[in-house]
Amino acid sequence: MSISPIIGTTVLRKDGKDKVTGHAKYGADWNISGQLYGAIFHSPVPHAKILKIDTTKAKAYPGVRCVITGADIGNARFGGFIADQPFLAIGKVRYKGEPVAAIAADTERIAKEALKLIEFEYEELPVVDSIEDAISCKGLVNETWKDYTIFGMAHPVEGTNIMDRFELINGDIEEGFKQADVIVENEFRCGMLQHTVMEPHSAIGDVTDDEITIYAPAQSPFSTRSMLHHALGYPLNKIRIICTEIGGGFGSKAEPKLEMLVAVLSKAARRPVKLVYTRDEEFNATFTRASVLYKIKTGATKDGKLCAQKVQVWWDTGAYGGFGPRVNYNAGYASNGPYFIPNAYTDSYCMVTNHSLGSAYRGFGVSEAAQAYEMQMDEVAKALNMDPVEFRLKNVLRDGSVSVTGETMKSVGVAKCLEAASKNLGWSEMPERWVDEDGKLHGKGIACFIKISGTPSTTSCTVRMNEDGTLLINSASREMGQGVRTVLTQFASSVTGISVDRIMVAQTDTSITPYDKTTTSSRSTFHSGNAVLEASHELVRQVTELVAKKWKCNFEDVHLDPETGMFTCKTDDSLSLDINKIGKSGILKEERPIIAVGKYGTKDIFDPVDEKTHASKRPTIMWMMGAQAAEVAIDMKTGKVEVVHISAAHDVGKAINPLGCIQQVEGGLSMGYGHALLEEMIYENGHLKNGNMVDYKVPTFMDSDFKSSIELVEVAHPEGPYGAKGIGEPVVAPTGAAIANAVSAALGRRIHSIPIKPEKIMFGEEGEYASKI
Amino acid sequence: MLPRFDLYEPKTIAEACALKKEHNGRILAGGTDVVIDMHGGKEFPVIIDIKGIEELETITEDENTITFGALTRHRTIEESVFFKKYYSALWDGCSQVGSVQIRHRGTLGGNICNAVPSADSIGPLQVFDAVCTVASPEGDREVALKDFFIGPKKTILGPDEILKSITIQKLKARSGSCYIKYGRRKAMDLALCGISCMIELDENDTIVKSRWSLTTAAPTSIRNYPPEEYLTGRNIKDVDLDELGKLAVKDAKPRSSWRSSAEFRIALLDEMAKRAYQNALSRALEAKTAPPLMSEETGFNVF
Amino acid sequence: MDRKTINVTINGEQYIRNVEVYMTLAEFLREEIGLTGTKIGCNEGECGGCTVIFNGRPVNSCIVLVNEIDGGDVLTIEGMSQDELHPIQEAFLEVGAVQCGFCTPGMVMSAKAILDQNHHPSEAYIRKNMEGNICRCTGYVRIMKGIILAAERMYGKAE
Repeated sequence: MSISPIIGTTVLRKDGKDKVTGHAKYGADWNISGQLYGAIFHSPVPHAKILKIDTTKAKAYPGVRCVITGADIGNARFGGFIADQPFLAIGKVRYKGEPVAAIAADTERIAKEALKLIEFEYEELPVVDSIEDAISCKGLVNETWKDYTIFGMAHPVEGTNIMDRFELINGDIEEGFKQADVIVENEFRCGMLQHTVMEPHSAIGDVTDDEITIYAPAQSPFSTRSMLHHALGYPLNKIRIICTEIGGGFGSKAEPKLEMLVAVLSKAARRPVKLVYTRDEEFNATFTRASVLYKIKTGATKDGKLCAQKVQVWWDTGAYGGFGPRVNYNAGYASNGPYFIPNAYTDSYCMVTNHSLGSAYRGFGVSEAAQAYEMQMDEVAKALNMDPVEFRLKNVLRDGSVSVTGETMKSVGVAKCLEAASKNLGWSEMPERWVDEDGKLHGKGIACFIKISGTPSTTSCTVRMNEDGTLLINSASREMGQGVRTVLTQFASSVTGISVDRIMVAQTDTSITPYDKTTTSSRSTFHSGNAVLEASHELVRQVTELVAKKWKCNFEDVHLDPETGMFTCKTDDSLSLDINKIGKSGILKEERPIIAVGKYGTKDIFDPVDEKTHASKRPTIMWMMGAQAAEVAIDMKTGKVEVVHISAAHDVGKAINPLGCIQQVEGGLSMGYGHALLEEMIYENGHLKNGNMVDYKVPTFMDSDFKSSIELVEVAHPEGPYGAKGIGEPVVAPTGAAIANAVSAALGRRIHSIPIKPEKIMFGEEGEYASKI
Repeated sequence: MLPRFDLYEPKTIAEACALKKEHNGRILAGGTDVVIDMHGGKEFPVIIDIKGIEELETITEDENTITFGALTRHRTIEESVFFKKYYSALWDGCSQVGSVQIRHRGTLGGNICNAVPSADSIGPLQVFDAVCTVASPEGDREVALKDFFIGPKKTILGPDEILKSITIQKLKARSGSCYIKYGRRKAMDLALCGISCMIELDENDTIVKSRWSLTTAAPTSIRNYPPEEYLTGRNIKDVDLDELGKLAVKDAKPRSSWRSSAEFRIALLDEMAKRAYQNALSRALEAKTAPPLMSEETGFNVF
Repeated sequence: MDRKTINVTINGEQYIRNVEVYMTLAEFLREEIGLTGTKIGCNEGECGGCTVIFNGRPVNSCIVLVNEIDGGDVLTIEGMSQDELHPIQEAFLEVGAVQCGFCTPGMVMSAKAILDQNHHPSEAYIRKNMEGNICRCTGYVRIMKGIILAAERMYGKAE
């Protein structure tokens, strides 16, 4: 069957006009009548026993309506995998920035002024300031794990700072290493990052004893609803999350934070409360990408085949679990890369520290994993005296390869991506390193990656036809710039023949929108796409029934051509109707409403993983793969690394909206450039030193002057909608590694950690990555 | 959200001086430091906005000098072909302050009075022998820019004094200047360190005058004498770049911090000194005549 | 004084408000006038999200105090289009310069300031004059394309 031409055609962003005119309403743009303004008193210290929180003066400040502390909330805690996080600190504070007290007042000014009247007395405790501190149990961030409810996936170890452990076991690594002709061992580190979304977090809560309503730029409203339900006991039908436009997510709006605070504050104040974080609060008191330490030992035979690999990982997950276990799991599955390795062992830990929460960040650890194993692969290739691309092509997974978890792989596009990325960079025409006429050192680097999408998971949607024949899609796949709103209209159009101009996606509201697990994991095009396709077919069935009724013919004889949108009748050539004109045809009048439900779930496809080895014949519905190659030029006298060219090739399965895919890749390259060269949250004894946008350096317009070449590879996924796979997170996965490998090639010595600061170029990085473990 | 304050909008310099003394008020020019500090929670009970004082905005010249009113915006200099061509170090500095929005607001006077060691306009002004005119109810006094600072964020301004203008010496023929800023990213960054220089050649390519300064290499922006002494009277063919680099960092006392180590800043300054010199030299060799009057060379920079 | 009466022209309309002086232009626009198209991303003059054109200059409205706008003229994103999109907005839409959209109003205003001054900006000029507007989604590539396309449509191709 031919595919509708709307699939694979660039469609301009549905939300574009609202965004270029300033009409789009983000979190802070909302107000509701009767609202108070919230302000949070954050812990000024990273680790301390709370002695006293005196709110008397703050409560007495004119215009203050309510002040609450942990004591007012009881022992309620929340978390996606382990409910360890209090709404407001109880007993201890565990990171600088942890909410200690919350104020609701008539104005923002009054609320913030009253913060200064809160008296907070505490006794400081030793700060767990690094992965090494956490491992040595220099101090325990949690004295015990026993008090917390665990929702699966988190596996804390009592008496330690280990919040989760993940192991992946395949074959026998001892035997594997015996077969090896070369064994390479290295340590790698990635610094702690901040999403630095342009829109600060915000939420409005309107809560009574019976009902919770939250307005927020939430990526995962149903997961937020579930956490409120578990923590506060409200039934799901009494919790309503109304979503605003999202000004950048990248995972930072995947789990709730302000939503939880306004819920308890509004309940206590008995008034709606609006809370908007400042940039300072963004840096100190929201979420980060955890810093991580990798130790990798790899064995290969002299003919260039990988035979064994041991990967040890320690995440600095910060003070509370957050989505840390999910990072550990996803990165754990990715930890051996897109390679065939018969004997592999991964041992990975989430360590809690007195830092801000290391949680979901565009890829759930997959980018950091790629950073480590791709630097390692270059070292293995070097030990074998092989070209890095050739070495990778010799070892990457292909259709029919058996993965480290025992899955027989299919729809594997990584080799094609490696070939395309290296070709578009001009890899084979370049030496490994050379010096240009200005004396700058040039080098080339390549990296590929593999990433799972969280499985099993469920998505549902409805597609409704209005009286005028236009369509309304209700989906909780949240638009946050990645373009899902546009893609869903293409899917609906491809089945119904209704023009995308006549299809819109409604804003998400958990009391109206059908369930969708979350907008993370690059899953929306795949999952919601399939759900919208199913709903659209059902919608066509319903409309066809009405057309048949009107035409007084058999249902089976009425046919819709989705390419043209024309209904025709097999038994009467004179009958035809354009579905785009159905509103005026009278067919819909006085009939039951056209509402179709679609769902897509993966629990039947998923092969439940082995608890210990994490072996599974189908651990994920969708593997995502790609490769990027980079050329850099280094000024050795200033340590400056200039990215000359990045070539990216990503297997998107099928590019539903090609411009949308390209946008993702371009943005990912810039973000990856920032990760590789500029960005890092710097902590000293639990205090963040650079929590502002001058000192935390995201790439500026001036930093965008590198050449980029982008190729979309299409290896269709058998279960994907028209073969599509995810692209949102993958784009950033290999960038840092490709740049680091190019820098290492140029230098003629290995870089082991990102960001690659000029000082590391000039003076070396020994003190910056080598562990004391 | 800004902390509360009382606001005054003087229309004359005398009024501004009196208000400053009476209220121990904070002078507000472009606001690119003061307002940002207030957003960060810093409280200034009294703010004196001097933007209503028109005479502080003018740029004037005579035969030997150019005088910038304290409210001269960085963007005004950045947009001027005249300053780019003839007072390149100043243009280099002013065009790298913050962002374009910041440069539309930030002023030379504000940059000087904020007195941070990383200020991008101060180092370049120093190589043109800048002198500050300070106004008070007693009248004006002149203070060399190099003597204006007594510590980080501290100046010689008395309680009733404000900075009125900054005067630089006009360059002669065969003069060139350069400021090199080292930042981690290509825009919107603070100078991790920076170096400025100016050289004037005679017809035999002997350096007759040289001025150097350092940015973020000491508690304040400082004049840098060792390279000046080395170059003055030396023919350009006798300049040893390695020696120049070493001398350029002799008086540098940068700090080690989480931003970078002192050693790294020294290594950078050593290299940047060589580049700044070479850049200033090539500009000097091109400058066959002395700069014309400002009014004779107008135009808008489109790079 | 701690209050001031502000008489200002915003997007061609006159507004008179008596407000506390410790208010920024961004807060004035968003809270007093209700024009929420101007976005506050950092409130420290570093992200450019709140860029508006004030008396002909692009400024970060988060660091302009409200007293100064008295008697002045402000153009915000809401004033860029009436019945039809401004060519910059149209070009941004067309080339895909928009993703999450939070930085977009500021980007459009900075682009307007560029094209007001320079009808045929080079890529280097655009990059330099957009340096104060941070975008986390796009990598800036298509914002650049959008500005060039708008310039061509408004003023023709450069010679």
